[in-house]
Amino acid sequence: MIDIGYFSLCTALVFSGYATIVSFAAGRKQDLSLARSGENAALVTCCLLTLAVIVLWHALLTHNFRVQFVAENSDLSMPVFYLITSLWGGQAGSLLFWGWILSLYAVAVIIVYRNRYRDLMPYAVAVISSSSFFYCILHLFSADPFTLLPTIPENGRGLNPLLQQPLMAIHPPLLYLGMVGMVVPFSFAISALLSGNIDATWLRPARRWMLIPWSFLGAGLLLGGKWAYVELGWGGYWGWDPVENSSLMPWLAGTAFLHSIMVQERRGMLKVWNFFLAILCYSLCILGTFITRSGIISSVHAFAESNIGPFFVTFLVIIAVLSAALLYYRLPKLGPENKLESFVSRETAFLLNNWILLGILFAVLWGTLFPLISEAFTGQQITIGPPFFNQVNTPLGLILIFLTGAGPLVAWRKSSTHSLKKHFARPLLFALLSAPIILGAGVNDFYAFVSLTLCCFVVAAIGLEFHTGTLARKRSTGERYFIAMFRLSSKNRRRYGGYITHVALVLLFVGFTGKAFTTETELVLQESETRRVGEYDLTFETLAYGENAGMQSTAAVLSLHLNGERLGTLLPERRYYKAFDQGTTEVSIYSGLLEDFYLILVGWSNDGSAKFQIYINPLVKFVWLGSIVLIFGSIWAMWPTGRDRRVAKVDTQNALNMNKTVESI
Amino acid sequence: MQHKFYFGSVIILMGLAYLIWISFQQSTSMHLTLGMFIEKIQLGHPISDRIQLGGSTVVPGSILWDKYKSKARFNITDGENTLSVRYVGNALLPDTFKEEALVVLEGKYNNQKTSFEADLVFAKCPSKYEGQDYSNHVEAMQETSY
Repeated sequence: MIDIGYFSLCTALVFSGYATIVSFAAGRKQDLSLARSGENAALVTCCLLTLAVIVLWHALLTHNFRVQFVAENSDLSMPVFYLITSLWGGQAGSLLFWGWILSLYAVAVIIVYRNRYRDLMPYAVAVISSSSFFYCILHLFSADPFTLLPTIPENGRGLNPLLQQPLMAIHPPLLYLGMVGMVVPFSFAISALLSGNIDATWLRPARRWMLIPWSFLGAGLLLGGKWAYVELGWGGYWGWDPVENSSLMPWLAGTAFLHSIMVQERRGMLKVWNFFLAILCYSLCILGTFITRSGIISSVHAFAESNIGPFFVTFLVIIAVLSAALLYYRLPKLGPENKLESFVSRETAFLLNNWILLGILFAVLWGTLFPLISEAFTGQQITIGPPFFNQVNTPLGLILIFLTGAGPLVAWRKSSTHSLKKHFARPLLFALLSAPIILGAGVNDFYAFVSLTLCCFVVAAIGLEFHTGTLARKRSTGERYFIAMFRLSSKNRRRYGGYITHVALVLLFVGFTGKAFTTETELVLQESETRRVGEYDLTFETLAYGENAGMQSTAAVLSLHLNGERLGTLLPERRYYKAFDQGTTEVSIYSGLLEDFYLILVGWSNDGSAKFQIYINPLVKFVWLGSIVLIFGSIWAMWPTGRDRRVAKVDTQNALNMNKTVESI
Repeated sequence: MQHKFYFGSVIILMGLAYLIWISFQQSTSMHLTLGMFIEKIQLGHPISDRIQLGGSTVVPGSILWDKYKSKARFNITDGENTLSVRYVGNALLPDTFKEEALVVLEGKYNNQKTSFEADLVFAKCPSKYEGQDYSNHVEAMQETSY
């Protein structure tokens, strides 16, 4: 059975290599039958990798401990759900999972565009297949998931209980769907450069296929934050750890790309920049994978050291050099069709947006890679901590949120003073009126005050956009207000989906702002004692003990009151998993809209007293609310409209007619 | 217009560089292995205020907890050198912190008390032998009690 898996990997290597070469030739010769051959090879690659994944899943589900991966990442006691998710619980399996997702993306692109973009598709398939080929090399030569052990252990090592959490189980797939997917816009960019078709055609598939991975990546990042907050017990959700930063950077580049392509579509500017961003995005994905898996930068996430580093570095260098050379080659033809006419224009707003996003990206990259840079230059490894990232990114983030509101308010080319006054007046007024209220609420930190005031500005600006659009539609269709708003948003999904996403950003920023006011307390309580914490009254009632086959638990039972009203029971726990000799801390959180009461059981003593650590985290709920709105907004923006379907139909007809003409010759 | 654009870009770049520069100074810590750290102390070499100490494990039997298991004193070793450590951070010690765990510490060295005062402790259990020698792996597999 395992042999089938290994054989599939070997065959996949052959087919992906074939797909790469043949698709490339198909692009050169513009030969449809060669292109189909290459596409079919990519489809076969996907089938083979699917087979390999099924084989590995089968081994996990049947506890085949002869397979090294199964023995290292699962055990007899794990429930089926975690046996399935342990596929990505270790290096070899997660790399196979990655390669499989890559092949699934290839199949998706091939099927969706089987009759469209025929001059771009062959090269695009070639680029995706070349990545597939690289991963097949990894599967076979660096991280073989089907390595067998000489003797069969009685039981596997299992998965650390810290990782046996539903949130943690979905986090890697979401991130992979994000990072892997960025190969698609990259492949369309390279395809445009290779084929010479460097007008705005490549932007259309690139935009859609950037939006999809970008959404998954954003969801994965926020889910990881939620897990850290709920499970790890340090009261926070983002640590600027190298592994976290590795997945943030492609997201930042992707965001910049999604904005700057609008400038090329409207004004024919930033052509070179858009190519650069598409290449940068994918390069950052590979760099991120390299940082995470090679262990080259010490991180709380992984101390694993393996020989996989050089493979990724080589791949990254090849991609960067070849892409740069291609771009340089096409440079003469990539002049802008228009020039920047005014600083007060939407082009400038988008440019500034890109500068800021790339500024944040550069700061994060610098801080993450600095240990390597400093070691290379001074022999001494120096690490950079969270204060650096927070200090640089906070002012940059504030400028960004301002642009989120201001951008849609300025016109393309040049905004007249009259237009500015008309569009900015009400949002600015709203912000000015909110300012004293914010101050009055006790927000005395400068950045926090600016942040919340700007958030009010942005909300007002977006609200106004929805309102004026709805009114205009009402006038012509006579629909009721909210029906008009819904129809308006459905017909212009890009724009209004974007606005919804911006609302999500505002919610996230409100949540982040709350961090400035986190308070932390430690106290020791006797049984039945009540203590005042901030405005709450906390009563420690008793300790409770529990035990089952695998785990012992000590929980503290507490009740929380606010102004005499009982809010609920809190049950912070300390667990001990015997098989792993591993303790876990189960945090108990009372989550209100304005703040979280975050309670940790630190320890207890024989005299019946217990020590607790409490974080009061203001506005955290807004981060989770913003996450949900972000996902909703992304889906809204991605969803194909009637117009998209009509355009696709026309494209397909044209392509089929051309085929008929070609065949009849 | 192009001149204004380039001028504006340069201003933005300079602002960014300045922001990165000033934030930099306050957040750096020197990363050293235990061996290198001990060597620097003994030779009297200058060490920065903040140090990140990597590549050592917690000495079995050396962990001394306070009454409620919130703060601990312990010793770390890399096989050759040993150093005593006092945890002075606010957050709880991670769940993965225990005997023989691999730790990365951040903090300051207290010359008078010859101990390291760590305000940040990252810990990992030692049994993930991904990618290392196969015989090590077999040994590790046998050590884990089934």
